[in-house]
Amino acid sequence: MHPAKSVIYFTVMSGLGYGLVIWLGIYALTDHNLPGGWNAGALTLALALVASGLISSTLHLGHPERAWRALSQWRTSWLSREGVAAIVTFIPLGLWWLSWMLTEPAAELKGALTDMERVFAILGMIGALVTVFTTSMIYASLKAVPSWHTIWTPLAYLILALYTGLLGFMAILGLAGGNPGVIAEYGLYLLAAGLVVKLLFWKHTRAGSGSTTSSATGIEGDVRLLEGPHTQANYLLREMGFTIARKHADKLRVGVFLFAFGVPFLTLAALSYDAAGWVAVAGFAALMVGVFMERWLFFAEARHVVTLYYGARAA
Amino acid sequence: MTSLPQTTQKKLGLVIDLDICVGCQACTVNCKEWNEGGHSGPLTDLMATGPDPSGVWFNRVHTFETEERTVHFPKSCLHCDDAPCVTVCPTGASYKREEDGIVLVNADTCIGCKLCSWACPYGAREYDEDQGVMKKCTLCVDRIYNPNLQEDQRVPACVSTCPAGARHFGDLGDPDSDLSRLVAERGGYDLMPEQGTKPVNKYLPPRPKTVSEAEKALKAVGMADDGVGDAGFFARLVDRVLTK
Repeated sequence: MHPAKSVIYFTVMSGLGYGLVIWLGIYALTDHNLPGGWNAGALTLALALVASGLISSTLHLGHPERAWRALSQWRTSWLSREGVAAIVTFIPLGLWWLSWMLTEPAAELKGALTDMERVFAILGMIGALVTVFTTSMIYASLKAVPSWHTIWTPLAYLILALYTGLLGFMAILGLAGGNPGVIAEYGLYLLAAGLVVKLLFWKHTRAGSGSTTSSATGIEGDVRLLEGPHTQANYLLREMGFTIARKHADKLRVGVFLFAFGVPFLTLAALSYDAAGWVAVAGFAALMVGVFMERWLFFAEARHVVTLYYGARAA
Repeated sequence: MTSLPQTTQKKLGLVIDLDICVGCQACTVNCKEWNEGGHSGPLTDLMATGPDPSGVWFNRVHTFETEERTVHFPKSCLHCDDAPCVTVCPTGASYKREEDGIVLVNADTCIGCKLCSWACPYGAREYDEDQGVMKKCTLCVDRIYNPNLQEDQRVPACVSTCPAGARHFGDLGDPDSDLSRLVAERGGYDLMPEQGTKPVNKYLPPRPKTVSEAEKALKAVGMADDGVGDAGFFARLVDRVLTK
C-alpha cells in the first residue's frame, strides 16, 4: 500500500497525543503534580499533537471541505466512527484543558485535580483509548489487505500509543526537573508488549492469506499474468501496488528494532538507575524515529489482493 | 446510507464468458466512450498524449496464461451483495441500490478518502485526481433504463459492443432467467470467494480443451507432432531405432 505521509503523520502523532493524555491523566489522578505551568503545558501539547494529526489526515482527501459528512455513517464505517470518537473525546479533554488553564497556578496547592477535573480526565482518557482503537480498526477491518486484517493491528496501535505516550511523558518529566525514573518500569513493560505484538504482526504478514492468482481469476492451473491491461501505471498500481519499501523491508525492520526497542531499552534501564533527565528525552527521540519507521513499514509492506490481477502470485 | 440493503429486488449484473473473450478491448473502449458523458462522467485522463498517460477506466482486460492456454480476462465492478466498498464509506456517498443491486457513488457527497478503493479486493474503484472523487462502473444505469434508446440497446455499453458475444447482462437474482440458467449450465463462478463479498457478476470458465481430438485427426493424416519435428533423415532413423 502507498505510504501517504499525511496518514503516517496522523497515526503516529495522534497516537502519541492520546498516549500523553492517558499518562498525564494517570499521573494527575494519582495526585502527582508537574512543576508549576507544566501541567497545562503538557496537556496543551498533547491536544495540539492530536489536533495536528487529525488535520493532517484530512489533507489527503479529494474534498476536505466535505469532511464533516464523514461523521454520518458510524453504523458501518470505522473511519466514520473514528471521526465521531475523536470529536466526542475533545469535549471532556477540552474542558479539562480549560479548567487547568484557568486554575493552573493554584493547582499545586490543592492537589492535581478537582472533582470536576477528575471526571473530565477519566472521560477523556477513555475517549483517547477508544479513538486509537477506531483508528486501528479502519485498517484491521480491510479483508482485502490481509496483512492488516488481524487482531495484532489494533493491539499494536494501542500499545504503541501508550508506549510513545509514556516515553513522551517521561521526557516532559525530565525536562521539567522531575524524576522520570520512578515510572521507567512501566516503560519496560510496554516495550516488551510492543515488541511481542509487532513480532506477531510480522509473523501474520509473512504467513499470507491464501489468495492466489488462481482464486482471483478462477482459472485452473499455474496461472500467470501474460499481459497487463495497460502499459502505464494506473491509480490502482500507484495506490495499492507500492513496492519500494518491500525491497528494503528487512533493513527498515532492523531500524525499528534498534530505535523503537533497543535504544529505549537502554535509556529506560539507565533511568531506573536514576540517570539524568536528558536520557529520557534521548530515549523518546529514538522511539519516535523507530515508530515512524514502523508505521511506514505498516503501510508499505502491506500487500493488497488486487495485485493478484497485476502479476503478484500470492497475497 | 452505507448500510447494505438486506436483500435487493433484482440482482442486475454481468456474466463474462472467458471461453469466448478474445481480448479485443472493444468493451473497455465503448465503456469509456459512453461513461465519459454518463452518470459518473467525465472519466478524466491526465496527460493523455504525454509520455506517462493515466486515467479513469471502469473496465480493464487482463490477459493470463497457463501451461494449457491463454485467457483474456475483462474485469469491472462485480456489484457485490456484501460490498465492502459500501460499508467502509464514511459519508454515505457509496451505496447499493435496493431496487436492482447496482453499487454507485454519489459524486456530490464523496470526500475522496479512497478507503473504498482499499476495501475492494477487485480494483473496481478508481480515483479521479482531477475531480477529487471516486469513480466506478455504474452498470450503465443511464442506459439500461433509458427510454430514449431502442430496447435492444438498453444494456451496458460493454455488452452491446462485444463482437464475440462474451458478455451477458440480466437479473442474476431470478433463478429462472436465461442468465441464471447459463451460469448453472456452464459452472459460472465468483472471483476470490474467500473474500466473502458475494459478487453478483459471474465468470464462465474456458471449456475443457479438445486438443486430443485434434491430435487424433492430425495423426490420421500423418501430420501429428511426433516429437522429432522436421529433423533430418539420419536423426529420424536414430529416433526410430532408439524408440524400439
